[in-house]
Amino acid sequence: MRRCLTIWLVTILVGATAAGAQPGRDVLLRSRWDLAVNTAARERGLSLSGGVITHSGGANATAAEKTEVYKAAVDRLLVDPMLRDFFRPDETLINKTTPPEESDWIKRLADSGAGEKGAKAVNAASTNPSAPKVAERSGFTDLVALALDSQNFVAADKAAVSLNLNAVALAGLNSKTLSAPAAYRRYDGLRRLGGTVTFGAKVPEKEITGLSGVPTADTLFDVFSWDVKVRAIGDRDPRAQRWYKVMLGDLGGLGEIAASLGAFVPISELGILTPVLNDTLGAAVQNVKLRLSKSLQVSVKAAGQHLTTEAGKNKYSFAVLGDQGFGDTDLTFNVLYSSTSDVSAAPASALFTVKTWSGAIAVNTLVAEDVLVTGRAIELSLNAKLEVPFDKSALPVEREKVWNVVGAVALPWGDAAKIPVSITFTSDPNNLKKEKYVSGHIGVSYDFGALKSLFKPQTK
Amino acid sequence: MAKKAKKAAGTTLQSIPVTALAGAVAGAPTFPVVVVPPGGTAVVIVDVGAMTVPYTVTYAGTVVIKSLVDRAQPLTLQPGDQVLGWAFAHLTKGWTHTIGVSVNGGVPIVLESRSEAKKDPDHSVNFAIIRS
Repeated sequence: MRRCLTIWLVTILVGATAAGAQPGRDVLLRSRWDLAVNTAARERGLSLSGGVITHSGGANATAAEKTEVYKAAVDRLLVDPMLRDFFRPDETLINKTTPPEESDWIKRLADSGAGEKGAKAVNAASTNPSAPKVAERSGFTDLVALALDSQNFVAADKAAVSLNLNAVALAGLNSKTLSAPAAYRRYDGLRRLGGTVTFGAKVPEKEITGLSGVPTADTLFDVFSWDVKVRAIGDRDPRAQRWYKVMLGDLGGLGEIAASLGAFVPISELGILTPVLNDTLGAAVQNVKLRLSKSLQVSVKAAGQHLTTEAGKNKYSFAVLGDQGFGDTDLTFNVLYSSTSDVSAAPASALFTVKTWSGAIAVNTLVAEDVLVTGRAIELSLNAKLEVPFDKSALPVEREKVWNVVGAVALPWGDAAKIPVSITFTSDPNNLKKEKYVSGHIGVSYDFGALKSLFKPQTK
Repeated sequence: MAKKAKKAAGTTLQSIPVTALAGAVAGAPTFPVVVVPPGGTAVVIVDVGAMTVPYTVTYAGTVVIKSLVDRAQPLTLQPGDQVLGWAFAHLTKGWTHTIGVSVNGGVPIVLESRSEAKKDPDHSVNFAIIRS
């Protein structure tokens, strides 16, 4: 199936030239379907009698035989060069709105009790940055989605309160009349921009200065922080213009063909054809989702941290953040330059500026699917970070390169729980204070909370 | 498995039986049959959330609607049993779709209503029979 879908995608990519429905498409589709299903039946020693797949003696074919023929016929249609026109993206659909004279009918349908308009899900979790990862993802499409739903402008936990600047900027820009791609395109520039301001965070001095060896390294400071992120390359949002070919052409064309085919078989055969069509469309949707999630996305970011209760130690950072998928593996990379001014090694000593280059890389992959829990896989991740002091000669204190490597595994447990275990290996043991078990330069963390469900009474 | 149409304000309604057409194989899907009385009318209505893939509605093998937004279209009815088909594919969060048919201007008969909130599959190809 995957091979066939790939051939289908290549075929329609080569053939795309123009858009729009043409008269006679249904006649063409019916003739190509008849040819495809006859050929597929013949190849299996079967034939068609009154549209029903039968054996040469006239006996009805089994459901499995019919399914096999329909699958082969659908696969054949998807690579049929005569049907390329079905897969050409019709961008005129983007600007079309519901005609006013049809609104009453749609309201009636919604009033019939089946309407789902009010059942939208929350699209993303907190934007609070108080749980930093070694490598930061490049995207913020979930924030934009949140903003479009005018939800969750503010996120808070016991440590800090964050204000989502995307939400503020885009509040009320959602449209009830435009199509999703048209509404997205309307504010394309704004959607490239993201940002957060955070109040009330308590951050240890070493996190601000990068100096973990000074006596005050673990002193907590009240910090106000901000960041502005601009998406420079790529867009993983399915509404984005770069995906029109896939959405409007590939999947839109497949949907049109699938919806039409039901009329080309006897009604008695619909029960066999329908699962075949659903499997084909479902596989195509999954392929496209995977392609979106693996596409390259790069953002640039500027950030600042400022102490709220005392002067100095202002920290500014500039970063490039990227994500790229390879097969079942995700790669995230960051390159960052930061500068913290008015730092002192001891109270009332000379002030200096700490400059640091740092790079981080994270690789996440899924392995052993279905081994521990059916339908779930073990998540493996490897994070590495290197901090390189810059302009060391201007510093009154010794400063070395700091690196750490974190290997983590998350074991699936039950329907949704995970048991995370991680091992950190670092050049600076000061980085291991949050680990549960520390020996030399190695720290281990784990959370067996999910195992509690073992001892809970099971209810049916 | 028959439903009776409700009476909408200011509209004279007729009985609109919807029966399930059994699949040829045990366990195979069943398909609703919408009966349109002689001389009657039918309007197919689609109510969707945010769509990035155009959905398609066909009648007797011909495309009636291909769109990214809510639509309603009258069917040019053909005598006998004809297949009404539809296909939806969803990639946006919070997706929903509902498709129904109004016979003689009556309360729409819901043929399919699915959403992410109900944890339905993110795609659907399905059919109904319009008997006129």
